[in-house]
Amino acid sequence: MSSKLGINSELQDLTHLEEVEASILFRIDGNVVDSSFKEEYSHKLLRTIQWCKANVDKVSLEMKSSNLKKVTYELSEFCVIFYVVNNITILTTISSKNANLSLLSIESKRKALLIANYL
Amino acid sequence: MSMINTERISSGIEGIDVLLQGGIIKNSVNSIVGCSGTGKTTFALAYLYQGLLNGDHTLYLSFEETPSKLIGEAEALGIDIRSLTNDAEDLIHLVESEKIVEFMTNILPALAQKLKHRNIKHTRIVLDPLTPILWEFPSEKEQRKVLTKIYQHLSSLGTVLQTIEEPNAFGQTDIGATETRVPIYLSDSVIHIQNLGLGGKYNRTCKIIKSRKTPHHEGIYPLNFVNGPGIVIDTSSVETVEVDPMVYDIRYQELMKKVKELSQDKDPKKRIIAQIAKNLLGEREKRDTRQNMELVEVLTDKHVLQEVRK
Repeated sequence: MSSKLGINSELQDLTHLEEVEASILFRIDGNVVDSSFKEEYSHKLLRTIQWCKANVDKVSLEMKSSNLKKVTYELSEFCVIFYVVNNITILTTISSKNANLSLLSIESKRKALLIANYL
Repeated sequence: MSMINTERISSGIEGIDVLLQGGIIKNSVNSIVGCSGTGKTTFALAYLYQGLLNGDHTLYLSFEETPSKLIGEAEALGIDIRSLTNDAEDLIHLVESEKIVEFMTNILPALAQKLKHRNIKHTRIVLDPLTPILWEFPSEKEQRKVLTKIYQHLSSLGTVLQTIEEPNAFGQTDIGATETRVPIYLSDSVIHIQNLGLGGKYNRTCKIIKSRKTPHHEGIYPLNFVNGPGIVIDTSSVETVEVDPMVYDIRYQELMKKVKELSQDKDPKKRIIAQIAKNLLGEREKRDTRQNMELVEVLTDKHVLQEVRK
């Protein structure tokens, strides 16, 4: 499987989880490498994605300086998990507010490791 | 810009008429703002095509691309202008950059007068893109003076659609940039199209920034290039009335709190009312959020409250 297809398939797997609204692989400068979303369009989700895009550079810098692998944000509408894939990419999982964040963190970690193999 | 009436015309772009709650207002000036590659020209070509379908007179002024190139681009997206007219290339007029100032200040007003005398009822006018004209008048004061004059002439002739280049890097936006400020200020409606580069439905989007004399739907909607209509705006989320169950749940909790207070009151009448309310509300665990919402709707209804007071 090509790396593009492989990454997309892992992101889609994440989005198939009931509580996950979107999974995006960001480059640390905010550019999107690949993404997967739930079928239904949502204005609120778009706002959250734009927030992630605008902040991913600062978050990644903070994670690097503090040697963190994962950061979770509980926003008013959604929860966002940033998980480091490698030096230049971050996996972002956006879930509904009532999602089981512990399970989702484990799944994000697993997917980040799988995606890292494709990069 | 002053508008003659609120009669509307179809934009030719699926979804835009829904967002503008009925279409573009006749004899208005409308701007499509976006970075390169967002679909501004396709938008303009679809508008021209709709005009031909409606039997409107059309005037497409291109300041950059040749008519044959534009018609070729339209055909690639399924907008078959040639199928509606034998002289498709004659519909689009290329204005060369060195003649822009003369054209806009002398030829266009004269052309407008000529068309008026020919008793043409309605014309669809396209300025694609307006940006080279703005470059010819660097000061905002001058831009405003020239554009006001041009818009007065054109809007008396018909409905204007102009495209404006947004000077930004890919995925970024600055709708209030100096280069776009004056035309946006003078336009009756402004449609902002973006390529966010997020992928899927969130890649290309459309938003109505401004719409004079007509209400419009707020929010950012997905935009897709589709073979046939050219551009389609997905407005499926427009009809959805968003109800926040939390609001209703809070109201439910407040209601329960009041009932509890009443049940502890010394007045036996109040305690009886509390008992009735408790019976009506039942156990919270037995109901889902939707049922709670329905119950709160009924219990907070004006007429129901009046009956209870009686």
